[in-house]
Amino acid sequence: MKAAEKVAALRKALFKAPKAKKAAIKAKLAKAKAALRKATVSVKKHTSRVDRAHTRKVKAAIRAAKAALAKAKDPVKKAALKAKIAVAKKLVALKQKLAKAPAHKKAAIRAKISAVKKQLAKANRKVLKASNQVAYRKLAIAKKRLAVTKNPQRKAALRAQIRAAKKVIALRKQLLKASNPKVKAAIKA
Amino acid sequence: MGKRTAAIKAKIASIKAKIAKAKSPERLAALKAQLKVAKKVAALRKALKAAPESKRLAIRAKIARVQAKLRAATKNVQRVTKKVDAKRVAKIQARIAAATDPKRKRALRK
Repeated sequence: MKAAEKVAALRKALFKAPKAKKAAIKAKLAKAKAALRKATVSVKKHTSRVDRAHTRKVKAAIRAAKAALAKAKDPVKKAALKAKIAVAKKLVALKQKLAKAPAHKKAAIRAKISAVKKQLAKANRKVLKASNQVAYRKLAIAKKRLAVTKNPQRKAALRAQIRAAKKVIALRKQLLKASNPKVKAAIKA
Repeated sequence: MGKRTAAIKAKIASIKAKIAKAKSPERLAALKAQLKVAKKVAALRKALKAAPESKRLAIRAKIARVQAKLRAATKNVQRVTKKVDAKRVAKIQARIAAATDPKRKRALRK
């Protein structure tokens, strides 16, 4: 930004300057433009690095969702996971398209990517909600078993199971409420 | 070649170079308008040289009018260029605000 601001300021000065000073300002402007080009190259390098990291993250999420889908039995959860995988795949495809696209098409693809990111966030929420529903059902079953059972060892094991299930449900709820990505990462950890 | 004719030719070449580099459609349009007027001035200068003495006064008056137009077109290009620069800075500021990666943020600030 500093380089862009310098170029803008020098251009302004060039427009106002008398003819005698124009050559000196033009030389300065050329230097500032070179610095701006250099800064732009650096930003592009970092942007592509961040994009690649994000794509890797989405691909890992797809793999995790596929593994969860293979394990899942609840039809609602299965449907939510399938929807999540479809949207995540779409996002990866768009990212790849963005990397190859010419400059004039990039803005349109970026707009599509931001829309698909919102869809992915929605799909993630649906998966979390479906997972919580499954966990609630498991919790109810464990509670029933605890009421019936007499074996103290089994009782202790069931109590531990209930505690763990309640904690997982609470964490999922926190994740659903959280908006800050840093908080989300902390909850996921 | 006269001094003024050479100057207007140099100006036309400079505008053409700027058109080749320009990316903003608004600036491109302003530069094209400036080029059109500059070409008109060059054509009138040529006509002035070939014209008989009786017509020279009229052509000179036309040149003065067109040169005023050229000055206005140049000012418009300067105004649009300023606007484009300001837009670029605003865009970078928005990107800095949106960036989460610290290294990218630093690169954007440079």
